[in-house]
Amino acid sequence: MGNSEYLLEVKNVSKVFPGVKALDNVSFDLKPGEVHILLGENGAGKSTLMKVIAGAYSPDGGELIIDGQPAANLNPRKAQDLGVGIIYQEFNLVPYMNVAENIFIDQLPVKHFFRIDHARMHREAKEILASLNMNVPTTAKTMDISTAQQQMVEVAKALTHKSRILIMDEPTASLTDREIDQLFLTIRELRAKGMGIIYISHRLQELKEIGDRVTVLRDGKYIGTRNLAEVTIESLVTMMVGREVGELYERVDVTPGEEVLHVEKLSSKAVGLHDVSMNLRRGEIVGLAGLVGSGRTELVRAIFGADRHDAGQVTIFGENMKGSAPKDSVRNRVGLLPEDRKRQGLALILSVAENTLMASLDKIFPGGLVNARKEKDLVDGYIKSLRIQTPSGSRSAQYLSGGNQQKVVLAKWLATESEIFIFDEPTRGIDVGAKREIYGFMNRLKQKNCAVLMISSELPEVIGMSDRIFVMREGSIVAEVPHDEATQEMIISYAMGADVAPARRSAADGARPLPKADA
Amino acid sequence: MSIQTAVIQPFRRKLSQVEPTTWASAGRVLALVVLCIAIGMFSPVFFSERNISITVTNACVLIILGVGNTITIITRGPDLSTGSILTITAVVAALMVKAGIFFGFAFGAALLFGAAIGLVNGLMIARVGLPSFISTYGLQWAVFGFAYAILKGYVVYDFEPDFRYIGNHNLFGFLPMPIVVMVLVVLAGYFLLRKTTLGRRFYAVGANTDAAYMSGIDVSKTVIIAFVISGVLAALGGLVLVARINAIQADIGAQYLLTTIAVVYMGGTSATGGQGGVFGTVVGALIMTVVENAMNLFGVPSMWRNSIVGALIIVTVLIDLQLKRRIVKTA
Repeated sequence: MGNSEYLLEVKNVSKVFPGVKALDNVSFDLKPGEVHILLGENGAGKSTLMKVIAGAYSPDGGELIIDGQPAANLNPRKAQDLGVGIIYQEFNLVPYMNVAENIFIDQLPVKHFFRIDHARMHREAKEILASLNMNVPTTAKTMDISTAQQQMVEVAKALTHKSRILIMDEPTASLTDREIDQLFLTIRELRAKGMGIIYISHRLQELKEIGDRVTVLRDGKYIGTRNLAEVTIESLVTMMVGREVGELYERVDVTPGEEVLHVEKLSSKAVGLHDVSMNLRRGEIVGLAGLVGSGRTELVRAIFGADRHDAGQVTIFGENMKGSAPKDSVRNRVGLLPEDRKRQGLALILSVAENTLMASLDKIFPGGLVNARKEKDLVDGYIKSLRIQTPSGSRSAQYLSGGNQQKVVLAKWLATESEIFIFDEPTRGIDVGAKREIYGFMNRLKQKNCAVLMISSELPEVIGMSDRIFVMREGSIVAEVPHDEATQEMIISYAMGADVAPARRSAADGARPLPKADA
Repeated sequence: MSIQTAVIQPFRRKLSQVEPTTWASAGRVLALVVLCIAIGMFSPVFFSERNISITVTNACVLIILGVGNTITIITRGPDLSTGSILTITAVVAALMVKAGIFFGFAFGAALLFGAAIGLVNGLMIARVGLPSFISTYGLQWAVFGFAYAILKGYVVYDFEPDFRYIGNHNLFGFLPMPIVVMVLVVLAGYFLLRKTTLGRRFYAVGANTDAAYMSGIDVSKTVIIAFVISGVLAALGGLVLVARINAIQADIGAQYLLTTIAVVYMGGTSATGGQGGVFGTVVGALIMTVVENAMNLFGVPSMWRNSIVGALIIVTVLIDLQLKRRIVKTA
């Protein structure tokens, strides 16, 4: 091992992809015993830099120095040998294998030449897990343990490789608050042992709690490195977006119009919905809050016709949608922007243009023939008005960042001339700048007298954007809260079933009785 | 301003914007050209007018069936039943003509029958939910068995000239009708896939069935249409084949069983769906046919031919995959 002050130095690294300069002359360094946060919007180059360090991408220029030694021609295996461990957002675990097997997957201890030494494997796995304060049987299959525990298995895996540099890509993205506390405890212990940790995150709140230094990237360029003790979050946000963000949630006032969606006592045994009643009017944004698994996605899928329901009624623009499929909802001017954009919103290998017109082929080309000129004009129009960052409409959607992919899904529903827009977690995995833009588009839809239904797990978002909020718990709507009365505490207590207050009714919407929560 | 900044850099930028699949298609055509030149250098007969005409005509039925499979593979998965559809529909048409029925009716009946079998495939896949591989493979055996039961090992041959027109007539005295039919099918396939909304739906369903469904596309209907088209094209291929060789027996379609699917993959159409096109299939089929032709010209012993074809399929698809991958990485 070298005696360098730095575990890792990245000097003037560049990386070019077709049509995009993903990294442009970026520098970065990591000392032993520090948590160095990598901050930037989606598409800023964080993931690319991370993959360069881990040897998954080879840089087009610049150099990497690990432990004072130049590390050229890296590949993932070589990087691992040099002590670089990486934990991607999507874990690399084999779900059907147990915890110990996953930890030692590429270096299973053997005895008698070929037999796996199970006793030793489990013993060593237990030791490592104990050092991480993790309490899970090493014989449990990884598919049966929680996300936080799976993450710890990944950390343990990195430790078995004697990693001294650990890269974590948005490690808190799918953890609960308590799990995050536990993770931070672990990270601090690793730091105390002299490990250098590169931590990628979108969550501004947690930066100061866990980080020592922060480096900001924007559009593939290095913007600056700061000591977290000496900066304000606001100044970091300014560095990230290159401008003042101001108020993230802007509110526009529109007088609600006619009711366009009416749900009456909707129930479905299969997906666990009980007697759900709600409505949506023109010119309003209605929020759907609740815990993950409370039935919000199931409700909008049932409304959209993607799942069957066994009782109750959905009325859209006065039409009874009994037995409808998504194609009927699309014809009836409803658009759903699903939570899982990559699986349900887009066909990633197809072009931006093909994705944009996927839902409106019959409407735009009623003769059944695709007019290339008309297609290009339309798609270029959406690219311009929604500020979709892509070299052209023929670029494959997989190369776009999360925010731009979401804009393509939105363009798809603008092309069908939808008037009811259902957003399921519209800003998940999207950076601050694109978030703002999405909120702007939602407000513009509201002003154009369209109706917006938004599922969101981010309470500031749901409170900041919605005119009314329905709170769901265990497949039922337990409260309807008007915007001006909503507080985070109130919504959380409804969502979690802590009966602090009787369910309130919307003042604006006449008094409709709310269904009781099923126990 | 130097040449570097004025010419080369903008050119590089343009090059880096070319989609990987475009590179792969160019590579495929180049491989075919190199292959032809190499064969021609060792065997001058290869470039004779007669040999070219025979080789291309031989490729026609393969291409016609391949276009059908290109559509089903883009949409959902391979249609393994085309060889047997070809057989049964050709048998039906041949027997009708032999029985003295007007050849036009025989043609119509064959195409309709092909459509009907394609419909059965489509319904089993889209409505019952069978994997396309299982449905079409099972149907293939059932249909072949049916053809054997009808013909009982006999050969039916010597048909009336009208029936044979699309197989052995030369348009304008020099252009074999199979080539004319093949070119029309390829152009129609290209038009359908690239210029119609139905074609867009094929790609959308194949690229991401869930996203297509959530976009309001009638997925089952789209899949059913793809297999019906494949059935009709298989029947058309059978009519061309039987008209050309002027005879039919129950194993006539056996040679096309998997070759049809292999040439689609060799042509760069993705096995996972949503990507590819008919021109690639044409090139794939030509590579296959040219190599078979070369083996005839060089007198390769028949025992080695299968191994060579097998290696050819693997190498071609491998090159295609490498080309697509490499360019994504480095460009």
